[in-house]
Amino acid sequence: MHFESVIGLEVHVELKTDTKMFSDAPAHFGAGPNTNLSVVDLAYPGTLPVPNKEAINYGMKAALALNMDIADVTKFDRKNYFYPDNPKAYQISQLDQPIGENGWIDIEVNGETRRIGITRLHLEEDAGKSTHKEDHSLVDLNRQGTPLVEIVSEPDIRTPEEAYAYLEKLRSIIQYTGVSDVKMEEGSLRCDANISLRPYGQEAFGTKTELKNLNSFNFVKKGLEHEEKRQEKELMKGGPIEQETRRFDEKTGETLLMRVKEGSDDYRYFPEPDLVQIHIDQEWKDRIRASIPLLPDELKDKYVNEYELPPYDAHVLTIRKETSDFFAAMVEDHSADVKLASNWLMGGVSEYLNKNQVELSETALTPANLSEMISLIEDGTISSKQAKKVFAELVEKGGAAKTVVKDLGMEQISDPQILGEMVTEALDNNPQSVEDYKNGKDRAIGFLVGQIMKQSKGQANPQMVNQILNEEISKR
Amino acid sequence: MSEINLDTVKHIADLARIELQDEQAAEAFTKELDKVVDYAHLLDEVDLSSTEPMFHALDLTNVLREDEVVEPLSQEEALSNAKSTQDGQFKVPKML
Repeated sequence: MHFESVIGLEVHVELKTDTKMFSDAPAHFGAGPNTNLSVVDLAYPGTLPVPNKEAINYGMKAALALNMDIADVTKFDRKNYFYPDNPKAYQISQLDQPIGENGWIDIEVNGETRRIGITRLHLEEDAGKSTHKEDHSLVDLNRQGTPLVEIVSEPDIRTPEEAYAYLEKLRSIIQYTGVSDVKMEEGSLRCDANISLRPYGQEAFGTKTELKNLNSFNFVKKGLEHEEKRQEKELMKGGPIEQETRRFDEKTGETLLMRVKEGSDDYRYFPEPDLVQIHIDQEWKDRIRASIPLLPDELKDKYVNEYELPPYDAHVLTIRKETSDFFAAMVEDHSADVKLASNWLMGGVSEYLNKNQVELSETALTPANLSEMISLIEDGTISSKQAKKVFAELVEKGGAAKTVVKDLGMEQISDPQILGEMVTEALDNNPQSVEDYKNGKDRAIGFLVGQIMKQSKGQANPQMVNQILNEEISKR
Repeated sequence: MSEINLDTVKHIADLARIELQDEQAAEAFTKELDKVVDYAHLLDEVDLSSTEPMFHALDLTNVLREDEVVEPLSQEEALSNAKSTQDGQFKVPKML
């Protein structure tokens, strides 16, 4: 690369309130198209929007978790544009007094920590969804009015890897606050990227392009990588970079021209006359701040310092709140061994979740049964090999680990009386081996142990079998 | 003063999706709008240097709603004023 990339990301996150941003219609996926609507969402004449208090709480919570300053006074503005998925012909958004400003998050790339600034977080409403057919389009307005926050980063990101790390960290933090599902595949997190190139050492930014249709974190990274190369090639040829919007093509991994931007978009913003200002006092801010749980970085420190986990483990375990909560419950409530709990969550559990594309909560695993299984490995009731079978049962069907071990007939037999009977039987059935042993062939013992293990389907406690066998054979 | 010229009028008409019949109509609007803007400039005579901007005519703040769901419209009701529908959706001229 002859140039340095300057990248900024715009992320939209859907808030999971029960109702919409400005109407009391449900904000969830409807059973059918156009079944989650009120007259406000349809922009009927004479209707008025009323902001959802919880959506404002959620927006504030996200902003605080991203280390932002919360506005004392915030207001809404109208952004005007015509499109069939937007019945009002304007979107209620926030222009110059967003609820949050001046935030940051720390990201780690190749072992190096970098702080990425976040310019602003503002509240707005989502639009409906359109499906384009051969000679017409169909519009489902269910999503119209769903509360969104738009989070705009500073142009602090320098590489596609950093963009990926930023998104991963942002998603993780928002997920911990519980204000959104932040699932890109379901559209509750969406990302647009801006990128420009400049010679190393140059202060001024080059002309940027905007990338759209980035439907996974990986596509964000790939789209940026392609755009870096395309712009570099263009600059090396001496040609200018046009200010344009480009679409990422998932099949080819290339970015394609959507439209050239002529001047800035003319949305004719003005203060929303249907809504009054919102004043946020210190008490309100404090109350929301107090509702934020420990965030991934704080938990990571705790796991490293208090539990003495390796930083890598602590990082992996804290990416998702669900995993971290599960791990903490295993260690704190069920006294599971810290490292073994971590190994299972990062190993067997994670493998299962990836393979089946499910979440921890969708399995039958509980902190209790996984911890119990680990203790059964530790005390020698089951071997690590057997544990894999026990795990497969636990994750699918659940129940107590001990019950599963019993049902699978895996429990070790350590009862001296039962083992004694097995030994007697083996000695009776193999007189030749007893003879060999008497003649000094120690290997005969091994053969007899093998017979007993076979007989007990591997459940006999090998140490005890050895001991009893030695005692019994010498009596013959 | 002529802050409003023909190009501004055409641009605004385009943004607002208002069709101007002909060049004559555009010129007529240019004159009228220019007068309106001129008139608004009367306000420049008031000294507002120590006045906080007002964002709303009502002296109200924090008019908010609890997050409680109210039964939405049925699909039939939601689509009842649509010119054209298909599969429970609004059918509109082709976009893109």
